[in-house]
Amino acid sequence: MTEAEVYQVVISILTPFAKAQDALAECTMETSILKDLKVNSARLVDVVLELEDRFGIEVTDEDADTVRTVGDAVRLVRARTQSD
Amino acid sequence: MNDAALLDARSAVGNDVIDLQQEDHHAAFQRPRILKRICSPDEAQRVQESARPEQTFWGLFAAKEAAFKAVIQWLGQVPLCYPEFRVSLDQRTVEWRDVRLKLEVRSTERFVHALAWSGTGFPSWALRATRGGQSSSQRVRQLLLDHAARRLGLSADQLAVRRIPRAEAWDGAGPPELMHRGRPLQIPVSLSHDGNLIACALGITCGVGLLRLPGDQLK
Repeated sequence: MTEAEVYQVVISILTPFAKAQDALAECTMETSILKDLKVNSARLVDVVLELEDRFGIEVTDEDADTVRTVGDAVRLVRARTQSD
Repeated sequence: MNDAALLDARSAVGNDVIDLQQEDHHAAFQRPRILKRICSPDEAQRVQESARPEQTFWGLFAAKEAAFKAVIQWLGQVPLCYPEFRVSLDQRTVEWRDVRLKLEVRSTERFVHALAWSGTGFPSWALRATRGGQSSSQRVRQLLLDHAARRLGLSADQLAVRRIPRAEAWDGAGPPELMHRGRPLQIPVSLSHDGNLIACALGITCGVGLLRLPGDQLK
């Protein structure tokens, strides 16, 4: 998958968890998942599980801890899918 | 000085509130993969054997979040790996590596609230239900300012909360700091919000009469 394709899927995963729906419209790779999209920290685990299911990858706790922005999630997915 | 000794010597406080009326929280404890991400094997067993599994699960989650917030006050950013935060069976302590924090977890049908702290004394805390208006982030800051003003005998107008941007932090900013007339008070504080609930904690571990305010007289 291209970066753009992964980005679109990541956004679709984040959409139901984002409280700041208006921020989704202006989303970029630098957008913070917690601070800008206002995804509740209690729902981050759901996001990680969705990433695993949709892309068929495994995300370790250490990997998950590095994801701050949409771009971090996209790069993590691409790194895992390309290494498989 | 190791991490445990550092936290023993300094005071730190974290708190976390979970609004159990949030519908999307209801099924979490029933999903084995969620349990595995949050709980150690024995904690997961506690949830599965509990008469109130939802409260038990979110109590563990809130305890770990509260402990994480306390730990990063003095140790800086650490990995947020939930199973590494181990909650004792009696829910009186939570351990992370060689650090042991005191813990109190309250749960009702409406909410779960956890306090984790180091140092002597017992943290002061407040929890409120809110409706509309300001953002949860603004409302919980105001709750802390009002609560701190009452506890410290100060005017809320002279207090402020700041979070310094920190790129490596999980949400892009360092722990909240309580400011008085523009200068940081050396009192650990913690903020939390979820759904329609907001909560704060104030780590007052010395008597208010001994509190030294920067550039001010003893109060």
